[in-house]
Amino acid sequence: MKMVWIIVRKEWEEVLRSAIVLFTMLFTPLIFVVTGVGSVVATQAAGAEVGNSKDADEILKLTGDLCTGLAPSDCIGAYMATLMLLLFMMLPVLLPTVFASYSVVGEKTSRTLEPLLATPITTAELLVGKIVAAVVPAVGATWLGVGVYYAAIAIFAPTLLGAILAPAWLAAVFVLGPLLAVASVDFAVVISSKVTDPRTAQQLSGVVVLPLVLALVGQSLGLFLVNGTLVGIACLACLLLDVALTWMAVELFDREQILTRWK
Amino acid sequence: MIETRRLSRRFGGLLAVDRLDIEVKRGECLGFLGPNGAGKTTTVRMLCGLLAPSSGGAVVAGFDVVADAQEVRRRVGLLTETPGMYDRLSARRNLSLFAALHGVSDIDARVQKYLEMLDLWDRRDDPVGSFSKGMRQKLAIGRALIHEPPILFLDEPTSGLDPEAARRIRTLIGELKAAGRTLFVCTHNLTEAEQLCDRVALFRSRLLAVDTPPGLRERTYGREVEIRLQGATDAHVALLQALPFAPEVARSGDRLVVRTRDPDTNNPILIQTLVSAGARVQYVTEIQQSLERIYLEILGNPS
Ligand SMILES: Nc1ncnc2c1ncn2[C@@H]1O[C@H](COP(=O)(O)OP(=O)(O)OP(=O)(O)O)[C@@H](O)[C@H]1O
Ligand SMILES: [Mg+2]
Repeated sequence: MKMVWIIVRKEWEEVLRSAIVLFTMLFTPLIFVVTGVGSVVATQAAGAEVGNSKDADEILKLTGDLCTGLAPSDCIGAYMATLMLLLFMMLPVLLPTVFASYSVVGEKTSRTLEPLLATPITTAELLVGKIVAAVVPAVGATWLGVGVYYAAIAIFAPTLLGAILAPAWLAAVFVLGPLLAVASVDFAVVISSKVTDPRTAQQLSGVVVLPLVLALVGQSLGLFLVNGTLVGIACLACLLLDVALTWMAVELFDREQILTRWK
Repeated sequence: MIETRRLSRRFGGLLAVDRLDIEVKRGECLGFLGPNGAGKTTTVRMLCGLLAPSSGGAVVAGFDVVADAQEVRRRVGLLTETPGMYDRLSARRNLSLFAALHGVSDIDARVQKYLEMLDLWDRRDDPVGSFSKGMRQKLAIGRALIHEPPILFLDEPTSGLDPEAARRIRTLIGELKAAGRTLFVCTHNLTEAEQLCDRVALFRSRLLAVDTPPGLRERTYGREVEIRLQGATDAHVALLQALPFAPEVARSGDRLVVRTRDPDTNNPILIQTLVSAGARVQYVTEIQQSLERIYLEILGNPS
């Protein structure tokens, strides 16, 4: 445990000193916030007109219990507000790979891996340290973004706050988010132990975003609605995936290959 | 402290290290010499538990490099071929990180001790990215020493340094040796090997020779004596060659180069013979072959 923490601290000092990483980690959530708040406010304005038309029933049917207790005019806004939260769920997948790839590329170009591997640290400690170091700031940046988003909604569209504060969404942000981040980093590590070039690894690990994109498309097409059950299933699946991938990462992370291949 | 048994490592079809058998005693300094691509770095990596042998094995500091790699890593310090520092971190932080990883108890004091010893204390808070090559190399040595391991592996400690910086590193290595550490030094610098090391191993995938520098000389060339005469002639050569112990004699100008099996007893006879024959001996010296010549000779005819 102590070794893990030593690695985590070193990673933060080293990688977060890179302006590009810091900028990406803070700027991406900011873009999401602006996009999200903009979309919600615009949709709600449009919804005010739709709400009075005869399409209102149609929308109510589509959104299910999302709109219970809401004025029909707010319904479409609430729908958009949750859709944007789904967009935010991409952050914990995307951000840690930025950090992780920098940490790997940095270690590679400065040739620091060999001295590091020559210390008594175990493979698992080194890996878990790197995973934690990448996951924590990514999740932090995500939560920061979501927090700002919540605050903006509270100011600009207070009637919609209830919809995005639903337990299912809180669970998505605070439980599923970190689980997704771990899966994303694990995936990057597993790939990079099989691929010679860490950059390829980063690109391949983008695959983890796919289920999220599907959920986003699904919900916007009205195929399904993200609800408690769905989030619960996703959390469980993700947890299992995390355990499996972490185990695989430690098994596959061959010191020797990394010494001789990451050059 | 280090003992290998038919230690071998294969990379695909390439046999980088072939059945190496070598032993390094406690407090001894072994120079590991060989051309580029000889397998020196590969050997060091195996001995530090970083790379698994394809066959054979080694015991370092009492632990098997495969079965107890972690215990081996606790007890050895490795100066890697490239210094490999975290450029964005300060010199102090680079050392304290490794001190922490080795479980050093009083990290600050230990880091200060080595930064001062290496003359880097004034630059302690500068990012290592701003350091010169020599400073990085010194810091890398500090990193290898930070947990005060009994065994040190130094992979080309002075390569790429200016003569002054190289000399300071050699002095430092000399001090480490005097302090009783076991040293395994890979180098291309023969003078350095001769100055620092008790024994020198010549290696190219296989161990070609291992001995003390004087031992290597004797083994390769025997011991040669140079005798300078005033007006040496072939008659002098013939005179010496006729002696019962049949020395090898060559003449160039006034210089006779004589090689015998047992110079300590034979040399007085040589000189006496010359003097009795009326030769005017100017001086007699034992020829010191340079280690370089021995190196080239042995690597040229590995037999
Ligand atoms: N990871 C690897 N994969 C394939 N071949 C390797 C690997 N590491 C080393 N080799 C090969 O093994 C041989 C020995 O390499 P090594 O680095 O041990 O030599 P060296 O004696 O340290 O050379 P130098 O003096 O140039 O540092 C070389 O032919 C090298 O190409
Ligand atoms: Mg080498």
